[in-house]
Amino acid sequence: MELRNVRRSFGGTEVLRGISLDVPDGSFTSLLGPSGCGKSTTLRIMAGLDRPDSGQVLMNGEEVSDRSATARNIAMVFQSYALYPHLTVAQNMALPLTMRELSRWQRLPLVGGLHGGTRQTRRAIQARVAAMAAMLDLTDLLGRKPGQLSGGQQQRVAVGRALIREPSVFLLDEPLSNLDAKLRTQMRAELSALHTRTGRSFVYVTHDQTEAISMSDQVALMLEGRIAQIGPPRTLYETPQSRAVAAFIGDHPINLVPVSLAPGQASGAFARCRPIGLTTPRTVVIGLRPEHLYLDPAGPLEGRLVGAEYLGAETVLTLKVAEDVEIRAVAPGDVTPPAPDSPLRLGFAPEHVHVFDADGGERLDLSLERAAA
Amino acid sequence: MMGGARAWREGLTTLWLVGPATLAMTVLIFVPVALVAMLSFTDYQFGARTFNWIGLQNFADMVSSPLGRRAIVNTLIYAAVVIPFSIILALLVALGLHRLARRAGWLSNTLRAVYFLPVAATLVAMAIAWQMLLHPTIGPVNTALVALGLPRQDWLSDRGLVLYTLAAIGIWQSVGYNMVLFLAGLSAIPASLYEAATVDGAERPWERFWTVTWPMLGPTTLFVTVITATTAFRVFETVATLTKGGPAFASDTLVYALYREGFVYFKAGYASAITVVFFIFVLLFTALKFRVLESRVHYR
Amino acid sequence: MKRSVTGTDTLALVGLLLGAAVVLLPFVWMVSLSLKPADEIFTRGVDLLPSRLEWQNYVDAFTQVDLARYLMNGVIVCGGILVFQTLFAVPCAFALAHRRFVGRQVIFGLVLAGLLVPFHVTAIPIFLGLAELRLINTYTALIAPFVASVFGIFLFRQFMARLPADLFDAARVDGLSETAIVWRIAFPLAMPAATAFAVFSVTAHWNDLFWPLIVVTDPDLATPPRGIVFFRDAEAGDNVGPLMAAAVIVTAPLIAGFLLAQRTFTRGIAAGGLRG
Repeated sequence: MELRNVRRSFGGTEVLRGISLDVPDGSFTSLLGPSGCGKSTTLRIMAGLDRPDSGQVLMNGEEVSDRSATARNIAMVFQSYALYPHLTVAQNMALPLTMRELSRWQRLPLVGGLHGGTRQTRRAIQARVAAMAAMLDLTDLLGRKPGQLSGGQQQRVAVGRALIREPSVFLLDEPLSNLDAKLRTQMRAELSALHTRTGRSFVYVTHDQTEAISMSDQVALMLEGRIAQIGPPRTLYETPQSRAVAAFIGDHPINLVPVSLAPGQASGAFARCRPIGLTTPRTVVIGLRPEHLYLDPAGPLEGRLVGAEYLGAETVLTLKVAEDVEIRAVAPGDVTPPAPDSPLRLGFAPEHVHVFDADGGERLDLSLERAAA
Repeated sequence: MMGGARAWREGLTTLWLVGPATLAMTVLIFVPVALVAMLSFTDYQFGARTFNWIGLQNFADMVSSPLGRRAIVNTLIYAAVVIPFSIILALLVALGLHRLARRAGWLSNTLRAVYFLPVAATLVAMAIAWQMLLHPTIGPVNTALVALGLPRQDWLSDRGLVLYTLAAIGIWQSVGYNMVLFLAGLSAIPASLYEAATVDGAERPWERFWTVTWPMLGPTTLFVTVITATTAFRVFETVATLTKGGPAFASDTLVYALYREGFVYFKAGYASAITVVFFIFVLLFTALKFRVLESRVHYR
Repeated sequence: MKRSVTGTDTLALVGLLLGAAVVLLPFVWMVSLSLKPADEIFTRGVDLLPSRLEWQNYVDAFTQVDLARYLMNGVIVCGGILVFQTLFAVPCAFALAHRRFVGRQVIFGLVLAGLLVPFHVTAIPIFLGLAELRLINTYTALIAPFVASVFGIFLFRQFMARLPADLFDAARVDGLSETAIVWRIAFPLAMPAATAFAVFSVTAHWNDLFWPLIVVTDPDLATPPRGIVFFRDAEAGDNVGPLMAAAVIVTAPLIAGFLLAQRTFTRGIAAGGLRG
């Protein structure tokens, strides 16, 4: 499935500003972004629930903007699960198959039975529902109504209803956001396993980067109606293409420090550092992830400790390295933080340094290393 | 191009869903309303081949003839009697039942069902039951009056009395409906308000009624008033069954007059004029109702 | 102070019971007369209870006039009206609540405007139209004028607007056509609105005398109230027992329905107040 330069506006506000996205067959692609970035609209356009104002939606190279979700053979799991409250679990899961495999006449309550194949088809559908229920551990719940199920069970029914007709693309809209933290971790593993088992393309919308990074082959980070960066999770984390991407990705917010650089010389807090690959002086923003800074008595970054936040496995240290510049660093939890206000030095590896243009925010092919003492 | 095809299909689907109802609505409501307004300016008679435009003649006839005035005045009197009595009685019953519900829920529920019974019942059948109750000679009402030493009354054939008798039946029929609305309004009043009022010194029940219940019921009361009014203006079943507008048009009302002039005497033009007058009365009250409804939404 | 409260309570209870007795009086008298032998009806002394139960009145009600036919007509007319009203109103209400299309505001405006129009106002032109089509004295004349219920559209739309849109998107993804969504998803979910509307519609048309009086002169087509008026006008006052028996039978179905499903019934009729 592929989107080419898709645009969509609602009442004057442009929600999608030219989205181009390729979902390879069998991949697990996440659309990650804060709320309002257009990721759900993108998903609805993929599902055929909405149409782009301009641009193309392609499947196997064919334009499908004009086709319904069924014709595209796309299934979707909704954030609210959208289970039909008046139907049992079994009926919920059977409905997509009933609609596809029985004709209009065959679906009619009494008349339908007159047609020869109806009963066979219905039996086949029931068998597939049973198989799907077994796979998702829902067998005991088939006779219940959605209102009698827990959140996790409803979630599984929604997944089952979507998967049962073996869609070529499987869309999930924030499917875990209504679950508690523990269940979310468990469902994450289940969804990954499901992806491996079915081998279908999954497109997964989320605002939670842990979900996106832990499950996906590729992540498309969407910001303000554009795809800010698309690539494997590792690439987004290791080489963010812009300051905004760097700021969004990562459990601990990245340290971003504006600095003036000249060949051979950095300024301010980074005065003990030397730029790599710089030819002309320029102002940049240095990005350093807290988890990539370590306590090093000989490190180039020097500051005073202003805060230590103990989190169990780790301790987050906040250092004041210059007037108005605070840097956070993650130390292992077993390190006893020194007394407040004591001087500390931090070190980092050149490959962990991200340098962005101070104005446009785009990534620059530069780094920093410790200047020879 | 391709988007166009889909938009076309979507449009057809919408038409398929909305079209039949819209067409039926137009043919059965809006076209007739326009026609009735037109007919009211003609002297058309059912079955006639031609008609003449006579301007406001029908309306002039209606206002100048004693008969036409009678229908209007009777309808207004009927409404003026039914509206206050039905509302006050319904409010009293609702207050009583609401209070009773805490002590004897089952009794309160049973009584509520009893009071609502006339609303669900077939009015024509009940009207005939009333006719027997009020029968001049064998009716128990007159028998009771005589037993009390009072003169018997010709409830349905005394010119001075008949309209009030019909109004009484109208009250009997509508109290239950209004009671249900008042009960809903009462149960929506938070108990904390009563506690606050008690703390503030409103100790007696009637003090609490004036400080809390009555103001809080304001929107409900307005709503009930306009509903009762619109129903009262439509009085027909009891008139048609019990008096046919008589005696001597003493109980003639707008809807019955429109029925008689239009469908008994076939004076379609004149009956249309009555219809228009009736419609204007109803519109005035219904417009009021919607304004009340809106303000009620804001109130919550 | 406690004494005075109990005093008020007692007074209120007495008042309520007296009121209830007055409300019940016509019902009691109707049932009582329907079971009284003719000679007891016409004696001056008023006895609330008959000395012996005269079931013959009920037999007479079915044999002297075609009461069974009236009842069946009532079922046909009310059923026909309800079915068509639902067929017209539900898809329209769904589209108004959950589809975006040009003219949606206009159509909803028409629905609201339609709520202002009592049926009586449209009676003359509709009668003219039916006469033109030679449909007076047919079931069509009794049913057709009511098939477009703006109140039904309004009620269903208000209810459906509260249903989550995701549900219908899910159905679209699951391959349901819009028609299938209307009848397989939206309609079953709108059952509370549907029952309220059914109660409202059936009571209104079962009890209606105005329209049957206008378009039906053929006793074979009479609805129950029309039939009772036929009966009353024919028997000229000497056949009270059977007439009252007929009144009881005509009233019984709705009263029974009300007593069996008070909550649903009350809600349905109360909802009717939104109508003009």
